[in-house]
Amino acid sequence: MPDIRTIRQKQKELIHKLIAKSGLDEIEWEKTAFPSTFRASFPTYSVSIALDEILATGSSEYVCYIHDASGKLIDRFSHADLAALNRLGETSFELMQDLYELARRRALGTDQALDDLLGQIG
Amino acid sequence: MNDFVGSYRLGDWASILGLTVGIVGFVVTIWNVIKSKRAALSAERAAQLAQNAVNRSHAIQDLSAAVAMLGEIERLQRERFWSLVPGRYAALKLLLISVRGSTPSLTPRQRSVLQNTIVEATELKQKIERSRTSDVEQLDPAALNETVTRHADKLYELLVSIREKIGA
Repeated sequence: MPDIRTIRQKQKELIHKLIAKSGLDEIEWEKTAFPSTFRASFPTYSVSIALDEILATGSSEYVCYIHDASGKLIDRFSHADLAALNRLGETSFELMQDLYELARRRALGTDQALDDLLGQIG
Repeated sequence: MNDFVGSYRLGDWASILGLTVGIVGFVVTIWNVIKSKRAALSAERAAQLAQNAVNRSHAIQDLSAAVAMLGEIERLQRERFWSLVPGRYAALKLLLISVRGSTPSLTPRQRSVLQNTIVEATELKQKIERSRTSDVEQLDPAALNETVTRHADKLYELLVSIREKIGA
């Protein structure tokens, strides 16, 4: 059984890989029934990135959810969970914010819309 | 007699003939074995292709049923029959898991489409069940149905692509 630090490192690696692949348009992000949650599905797993409200404090946190082949939630971690692995010049908040923005823009087609609009305006 | 056999070296010719017949027989046997193996492999491939076609046919039927289920869920949500909705999402999820498991010829992309709807169905079922115990008025049928329609469209596209593959 891996220790918590190893688990967090793997989770952080997942975020990095999702950002890299999303930047290359190799991951298809989709809207979900929850307005601040976007999901990418693979043959037997799904990964969601969400901007969730923390009811107790009224603040927000970026959260990553992983669902298995039967739709069951099997992992959940927030930017705060990854904070212990922060290095100089990089915070887990910014990392997951980047992923959220990428996912949101891909799911909503924002970049394509901008390109089309720029083309139409001339 | 012996002189006759010896002078015409009939023994040698008999040996050569026997060896030739043996070699030819051996080659023919090997050739027949290869032919039989090829025939068996062809039959196995044909059987596999037939099985794939049957699986795809079942997948088409099940996906049609899934699209119909989503239509029913839309109606129930529109009419706010919330008590009936979670069960429909659960049934939909099981149907899609079955399609994925019994159709080995699905591409990774097609499996991902099914996975996406399976997770969404799970999440929506939980959302509605939670709301039923707190405040069902917070559920927005229009927003939920926008999601349902999106998934119905994706499943229908999947159904069409499978149908095209078997020429149905």
